[in-house]
Amino acid sequence: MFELYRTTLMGIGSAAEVWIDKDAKLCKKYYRPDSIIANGNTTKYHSMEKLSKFFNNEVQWSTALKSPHVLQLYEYGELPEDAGYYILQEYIGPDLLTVYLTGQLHTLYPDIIEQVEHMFSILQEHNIYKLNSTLCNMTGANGKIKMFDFKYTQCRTPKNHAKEKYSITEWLTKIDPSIADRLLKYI
Amino acid sequence: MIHTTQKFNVISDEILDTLITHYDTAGSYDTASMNKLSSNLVEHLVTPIIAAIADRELTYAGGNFYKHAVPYLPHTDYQPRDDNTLNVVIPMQYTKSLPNLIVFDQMWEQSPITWSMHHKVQSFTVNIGVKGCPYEYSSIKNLTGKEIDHTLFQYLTHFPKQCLFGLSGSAYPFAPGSVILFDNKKIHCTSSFTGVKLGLSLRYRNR
Repeated sequence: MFELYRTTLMGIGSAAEVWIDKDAKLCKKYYRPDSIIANGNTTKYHSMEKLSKFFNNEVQWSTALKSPHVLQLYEYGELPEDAGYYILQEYIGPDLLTVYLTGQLHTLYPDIIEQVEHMFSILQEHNIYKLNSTLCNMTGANGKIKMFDFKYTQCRTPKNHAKEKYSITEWLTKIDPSIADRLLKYI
Repeated sequence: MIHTTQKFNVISDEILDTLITHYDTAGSYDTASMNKLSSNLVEHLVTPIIAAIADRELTYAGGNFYKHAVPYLPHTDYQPRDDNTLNVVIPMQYTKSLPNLIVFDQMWEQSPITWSMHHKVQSFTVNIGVKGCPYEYSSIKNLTGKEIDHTLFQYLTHFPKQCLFGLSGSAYPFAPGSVILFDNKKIHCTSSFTGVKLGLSLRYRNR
């Protein structure tokens, strides 16, 4: 059964109502006028049109990347009254920031540096900039990590290069300081 | 009312291979530009899967394979006398950039037509070619009365923007293994794309 997933962590569920079926490993995201999101807020900061664009961007990039390092889509569609949804398959657990805070990042994912480097090679291949390329937007199980949250993803431009560099140097270096040199060559 | 839904990874590689082989070995096709082929001999492979997704019994009303390199113009497939309300697209192959099926929110409830847009009137046997763009047809339901939004237009840059006035909707990726279910009365077309794509389009009655 899907259960509503709310969190006090900012940045999670910030645009949609998130329901998770832990047994089936499915994560269902809704947008609708009365959706309740993280911290009990509503989606009032975004129009339904804007949310629709976010969702479509997520679907486009999740499909186009065709990578084992991307959470697979299960379903995408529209609902009455301009609402919409998508369902991610293989929702597999806590994000990597949560794992990092427990100090188990390298225990659970011994080759995490190589895996993240491979992810960046995929982003480079498609020439895309994944905003929110932080530990909050990666998850994993059985030693394998996967990225999700492509709602802000766009093609790389000189303008967003600085933001991408920041996400590497300020966020992904929490995995290991040496990762910056390995990743910066891909952007 | 049928709400558009795309379900991913529901057509197995084995079934896809069977469908592609069936198409490739047919030898002759119905039209030169669209390379169509009837789906009557293979619909039984996918109809039970689609019925499970739709969560109801379905009556097959027809369909065809289609292979093309030029995007389809905006059209509808709904035929009132057949009541073939449910349209199902099964993406099978594409060779270059990922194409999208664009399903507009606007509906045409009369016999199926194809809007020729900025081209001369096109000749089609089933979805008869008509002059001009959808916004010029007042009997279309749900026209927005405003310019198409930037995000959707990015998929349709092969049309002059003014031809898409009054339209809204969503883009569904042409992902092999997925199925896209939508109301046949909704105007739909192909996004801009390069290469060649092969798909299967099936119609089901509304009962």
